[in-house]
Amino acid sequence: MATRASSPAARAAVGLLVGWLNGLLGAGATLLVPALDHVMGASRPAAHGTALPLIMLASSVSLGVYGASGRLPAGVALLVAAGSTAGGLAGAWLVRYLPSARLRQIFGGAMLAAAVRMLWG
Amino acid sequence: MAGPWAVALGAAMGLLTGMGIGGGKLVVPLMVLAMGLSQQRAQAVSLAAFVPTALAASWVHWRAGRIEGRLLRALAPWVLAGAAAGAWLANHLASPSLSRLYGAFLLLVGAYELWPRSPGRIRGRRRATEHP
Repeated sequence: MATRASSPAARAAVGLLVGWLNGLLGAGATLLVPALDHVMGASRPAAHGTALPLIMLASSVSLGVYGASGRLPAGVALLVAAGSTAGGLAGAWLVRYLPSARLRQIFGGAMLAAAVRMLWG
Repeated sequence: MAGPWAVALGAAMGLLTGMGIGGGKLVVPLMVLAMGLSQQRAQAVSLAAFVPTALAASWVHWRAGRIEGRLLRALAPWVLAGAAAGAWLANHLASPSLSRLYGAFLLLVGAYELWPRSPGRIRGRRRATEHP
């Protein structure tokens, strides 16, 4: 799983952009896997594997800043985390039985609808 | 009333994430629209729900040897600095402004999800073209 040489500037740009999106919107992990793959030259499995701890670290820092600003409703977060853990296990099991391409399209459509509502609602 | 919503949204988020689709992005607007949380609080909840799952999944990837230590060490300081700056900015914006930024981001991601991945192949019709 050797990586191609990537310039320090490319690493800094990718790292800062992905971290900044994580802090600003709590999102952007989607970008990191293709960035590690195409810009840094990591193999697909290594890109997936390495992106995860990076986003986890970024999320921990972001969460700390939100918490310090008094923006973390701990009770709601615990309930969502509990639901999410149970749902995650069910999803990992269900993925074999459901048409993921169709689900992705439905999910994309739902995101566009939510986006319109947030932009112009 | 917030309790059942929180568990249901969490379950939906986990379900989609577990299937590799990435549900967190949709749960944030649902928390804002259905539960009336501010954009910042909804994002904080989504981050809080993500961290333990990512920790467990990172451990699985590490055991499987899929984490490149050199790449991780090279990127981590930049990612952490970016996260601190982004989170600082998010907490200094008005909630409706941050909501609109999030909406613009969702528009891009939603369009990307719906965009056919491989040229010449429309997803969902692959089977029909490959096995007439």
